[in-house]
Parts: sequence; structure tokens; C-alpha cells
Amino acid sequence: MTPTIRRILAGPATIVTFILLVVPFGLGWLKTALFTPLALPGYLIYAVGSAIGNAIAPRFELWVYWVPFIAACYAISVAVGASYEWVCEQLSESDQ
Amino acid sequence: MNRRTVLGAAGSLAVGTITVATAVVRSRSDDAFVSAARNGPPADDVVTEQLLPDTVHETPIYTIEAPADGATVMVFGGVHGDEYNGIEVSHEVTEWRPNAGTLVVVPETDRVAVENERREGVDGDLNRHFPIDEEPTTELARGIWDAVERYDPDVVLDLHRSLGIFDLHQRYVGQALFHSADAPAKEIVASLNDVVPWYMPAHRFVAEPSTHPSPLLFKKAAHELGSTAYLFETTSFMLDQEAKNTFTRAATARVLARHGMLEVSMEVER
Ligand SMILES: [Zn+2]
Repeated sequence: MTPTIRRILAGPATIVTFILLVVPFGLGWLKTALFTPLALPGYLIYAVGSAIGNAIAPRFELWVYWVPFIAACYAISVAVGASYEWVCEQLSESDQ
Repeated sequence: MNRRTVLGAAGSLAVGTITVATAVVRSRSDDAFVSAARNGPPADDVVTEQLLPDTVHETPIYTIEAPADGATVMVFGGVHGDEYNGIEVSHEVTEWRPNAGTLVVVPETDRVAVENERREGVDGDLNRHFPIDEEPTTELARGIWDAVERYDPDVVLDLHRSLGIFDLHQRYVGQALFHSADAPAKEIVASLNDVVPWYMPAHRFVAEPSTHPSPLLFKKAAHELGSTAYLFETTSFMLDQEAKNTFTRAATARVLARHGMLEVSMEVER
């Protein structure tokens, strides 16, 4: 099976990765008591992203980086999804 | 096996560093320092006076005399009127019962700013009105400084709220304990970081010596009265009000403990 663009952009591996990056961190942002170790990847991405954004445009408040954060998480998820599809493809080829 | 140990304040921080490992979520009930501060012996005396009575700045000042002799510690909240962690926690501190010394608390230092929920009061930013070796520049600042001189505190702690993270976001001070040169701030911060979950590494507190003279209340107290002075900052970045209050409370209790006001008892796991 050849991975389609659609499968890479919205396949299960892509969606699961996106949810894992965004949801635990989003819960912690809403209520600090809901921060868990699961939120750490999102936490680090947001911290680094907001640091870069703040260095470029110090005038913005730090919540505005939710927009690039979501975009970055999706980009990472697509990379993970594509890798996953590629690995699946290699495995299915070696089966033949 | 649980063993209940009572430690003198001097030894308590080192042991506390090992034993008081709590997450933000649980620290409200588990923090041995806060619990020692809340559950100390009945005070010899609790007095409420008004600072700058019959003016727009009139604000209560609470004095709690502990049963034993010790340091005089002044805690200020609401120097900036929209920094609710300092205001709410210093109101709680008026209910604390230290074992030793005198605890003086001003929860709403800039009363007008607090009522308006704004950083600045009638004359602007109160924490810029205390030039070193000069008269404070406004009526409110002079009234506060008169009280500080009268109490002649060994320790001054001013509670604030910042934005962003120290060293990560330019212009922002994040989670920090600024302090005079003589302050044991590294030790206090090490113990305070036990309350910060390991998976929030950017939120670890830093101890920052602050010796450059500028017109801040804690600096004037350090320079002119020789007080050991602290300015505490917790951040709004990623933290809700409850978490900011937890950190502020934990920091205040640790400062009191380190200056001999609390006897910290804690459960030691064996
Ligand atoms: Zn402030």
C-alpha cells in the first residue's frame, strides 16, 4: 500500500501524535493542577516557541503563540505520520 | 514506617529539601513549611493598625507577636494592585502563627491600586518611589517607609507576580527570588523548587542577587536599614491563580522558616 497525501496529513498516526502534543498541555494551561508528565512535550514546544517569538516580537503577549504552537504541533505530527506510513510500507513490501 | 520528627528551623530547610517533594497539585495539603506556619502556637498578641489613616491610602497593617523572641519580618502584598497572589497570600499570612519573632503584614500596600485592580495607584508605580538615601517621593511611599523604619525589620519580603520566564523571554523576570547580598536565597529557592513539578522545568525558581541601587522598597530596606530583603516573583505564564498562590505561600513560609520563625515538623518516610 502506498501512503497517500491524505493518509499522511490525517492518518491515525498523525492524529494521535497531534492529540498527544496538544491535549495534555492544553489541560495544564486551563488548570495548572491538570499538568501531568504527558504535557511535557507540548510544554517544551510552547516554551521554546514562545521564546523565539518573544525574541523576534517582544511586544506580543505570550498567549498569542498558541497559533504557531498549533501549527508546529501539526507539522511535527505530519512528520511522525509520514514516518509511520513509510515504515508500514517497508514492512508490507518485505512480507511479499 | 512513618516517624514524626520536629526539627529546629535551622536544620529544617536541608531536610525539607529531601522530604517535602510535592507537586503543585498536592502541595496545598502536603507542604510542611506552610502547615508549620498555619499551625504554630497561639500568638502573644495580634494588633491591627491603619497605615496612613484618614487618607485615600489608608490600609491595615497586622502585627503578630509570636510567643518566643526572634526576628522581625515584614511581608508586603499589593505593592502592585493587580498581582493577586501577593494580596491573597498576605491576607492568609495575617492568620499564620509563627513560633518565634514578630511578623508584620501589609496585604494591600497600595490600597487604591488594589481596589482598582490596576498595577499603579494614584501616583503611578509604587515600587519606583523609594530612592536610596533620599525621601520617598510620594505620600504613600513616605507613609510606608515611616512604618518600615519604625519596625526596623530584620527581613523584608515583597510579593509580586511577573510574566514570562526568566532567561527565556526577554523583558520578563519569570519565577525568581531577587535578594540582598546577605540573603540565604539559594537555599530557599532549592527548597521551593521541590514544589515545582519536574515536568515543568522552565518554571524552576532562580535566586538573583539584586544589589544595584534602584528605587524599590526592598532595596531601600536592604541599603538603609541593613534588612535581609527579598522580592518574590511568580509568573502568569502557563499558571493559574491557584498555582501562583501555592508558590507564593510556599516561598513566604520558607523565608519565615529560614529566618528562624517556624519549627517545621514533617513526616519522614523511612
Ligand atoms: Zn509587581
